[in-house]
Amino acid sequence: MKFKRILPAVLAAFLFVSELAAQGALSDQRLGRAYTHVFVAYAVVWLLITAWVVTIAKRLARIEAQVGDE
Amino acid sequence: MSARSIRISGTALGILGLLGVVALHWMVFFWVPTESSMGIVQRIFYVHVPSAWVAFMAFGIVAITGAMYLWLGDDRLDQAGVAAAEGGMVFTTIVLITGPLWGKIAWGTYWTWEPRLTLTLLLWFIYLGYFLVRRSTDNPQQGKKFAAVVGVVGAADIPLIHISVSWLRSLHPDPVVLKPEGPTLDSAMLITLMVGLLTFTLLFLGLFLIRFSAESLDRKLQLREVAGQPQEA
Repeated sequence: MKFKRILPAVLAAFLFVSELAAQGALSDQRLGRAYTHVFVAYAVVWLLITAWVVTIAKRLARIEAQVGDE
Repeated sequence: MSARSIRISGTALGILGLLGVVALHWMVFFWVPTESSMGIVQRIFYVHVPSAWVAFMAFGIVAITGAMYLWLGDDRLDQAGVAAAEGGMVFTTIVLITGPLWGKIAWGTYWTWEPRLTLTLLLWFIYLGYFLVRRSTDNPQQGKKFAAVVGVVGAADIPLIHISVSWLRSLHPDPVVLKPEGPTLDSAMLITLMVGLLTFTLLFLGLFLIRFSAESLDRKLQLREVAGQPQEA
């Protein structure tokens, strides 16, 4: 259960760090608007996948709680 | 195979996928060269194409499990179809968001009603329909059959999306990998794309297996609840 609780935080931290790294790598190229679009695209990808992970984890937690009750 | 072992397999694939995510980010932002004509916005390609691949794979699973459910009537096939369709919706949404972000820089507009974009949007609505028809009847078995039919028929859109670029007048870039004469992509770009495809496939398969095991357990619980209820006279 602890792992499930910290997983979203770990994923969020990873996203933050990776996007910061991307910012550092790409800002040198001075392509402001295109850079923003790349940043938004990667953020959307990982936010949507994280959202799916969270919904699956919540569903599993609910089912495990129900199994525990029986 | 028990739900627990399916979930463990899914978790293992998911962890491999996460390792792939780290490698992919390093390759995309620190290793692969910048494409000469499109510039840095081309880097969206390394998540856009793998998302499209995974979405097609997911809806392929929905179609196969749907057809087999209609034939055999095994509830596990419907459970697999639901799990795959959910993932397919997530990855099609990613395709429909990342594509226009690239298009705004490359074409000057977020959206144009050109064949591939329109057919991909249609695919998203078909699989939205997959979930809606499940709940459209009071009889859950009938809802599952309707959804299976939508899943099978909807998959016909996938080859149309693929051929729309070459057969119809399309703004969308031509394929650079799946070509009769072989890939026409720079080798570093091709390797990065392959890592992206592998990463997204592992992530999808891992999450699909975990979601399938959850669906399976949920339905067993529902059946147990129904069996435990007193019979009406």
